[in-house]
Amino acid sequence: MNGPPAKKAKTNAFAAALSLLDDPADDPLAVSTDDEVTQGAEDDSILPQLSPDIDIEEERKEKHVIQDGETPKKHKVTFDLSPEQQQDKPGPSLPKPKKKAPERKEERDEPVIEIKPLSEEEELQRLKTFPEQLERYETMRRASFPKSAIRRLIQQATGNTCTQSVVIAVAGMAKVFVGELIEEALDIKDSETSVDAPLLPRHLRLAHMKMEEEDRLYPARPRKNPF
Amino acid sequence: MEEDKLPIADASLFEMEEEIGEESKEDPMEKFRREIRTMLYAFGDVKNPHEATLDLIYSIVVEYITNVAKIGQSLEPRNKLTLQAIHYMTQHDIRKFDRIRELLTMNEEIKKARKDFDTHI
Repeated sequence: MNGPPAKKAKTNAFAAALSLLDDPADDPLAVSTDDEVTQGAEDDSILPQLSPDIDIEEERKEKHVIQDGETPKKHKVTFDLSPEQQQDKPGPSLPKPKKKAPERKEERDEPVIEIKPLSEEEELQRLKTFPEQLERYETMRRASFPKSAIRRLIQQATGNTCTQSVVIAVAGMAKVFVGELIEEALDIKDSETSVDAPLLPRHLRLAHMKMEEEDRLYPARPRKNPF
Repeated sequence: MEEDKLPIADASLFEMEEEIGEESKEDPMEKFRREIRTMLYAFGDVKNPHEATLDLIYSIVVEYITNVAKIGQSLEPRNKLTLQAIHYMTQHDIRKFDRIRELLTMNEEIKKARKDFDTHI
């Protein structure tokens, strides 16, 4: 976390304003009683003043990217990209808008957010409370492109056979690519229509164009010169 | 003999061959499309996605894989898509790089486990 003391003066007024949003029943110093929430001991020396708003913005953005519906409950936010999350980055983004509001409020109530790497059991526990998400997660883990199809495509493109490792690598790459594309498209869709609406080709095309502009599309293309 | 095996009464041997031939030509791509449909749900779409969306993703992914193969092939001598080429291409894309590394590591472990299993039993 960037130094809260340095920015405290600036955010005191902001904190005061935000504290108006606090639930009067909540004690800002109280440790949350959710079992899944307390992931470590609360530091009592931490003031109830809120951490800098800039950090909150960053955190919210990071959360937005990383947790994507996998961690729908209100809880202390963790931002380390644990190996588990790195695997599952293209997570379902469907419940995101609903869950973000309570999460944000919870963030403002907490003094300082501790960063702790997530463990797989905690993730699964959280998922268990949302069976639909669990289903999606299971589907995502199982989905993989058929190696025969990939090998056929590579042969058509290169005219040469390739090793099995290459096929495995390309299959994994394609799945990550599809995940990124669908995620972008879903973000675009969410900003335009409702969350439950099905994905349209238009969203996909917009996402494709966006990725092309950001140079995320093909790996070996020479990077855009920033100057 | 074929009549006993085939559920259709009067399918000739020629027809059976044709069917099998069609299957092997169509099936990898059919499986491919089915997997894409699965992935649409897995990554956050509704349970029954639009067909048009599916088709579009199919063509995008086919184009992507083809382009990756072509670019990778151009990096190496003698027109082969190698693992090293893929390594070079995905250096900067952390997600893909990590995922590929993880997949290949897992593959090695599974092979080793299978070998141990076979030799011990």
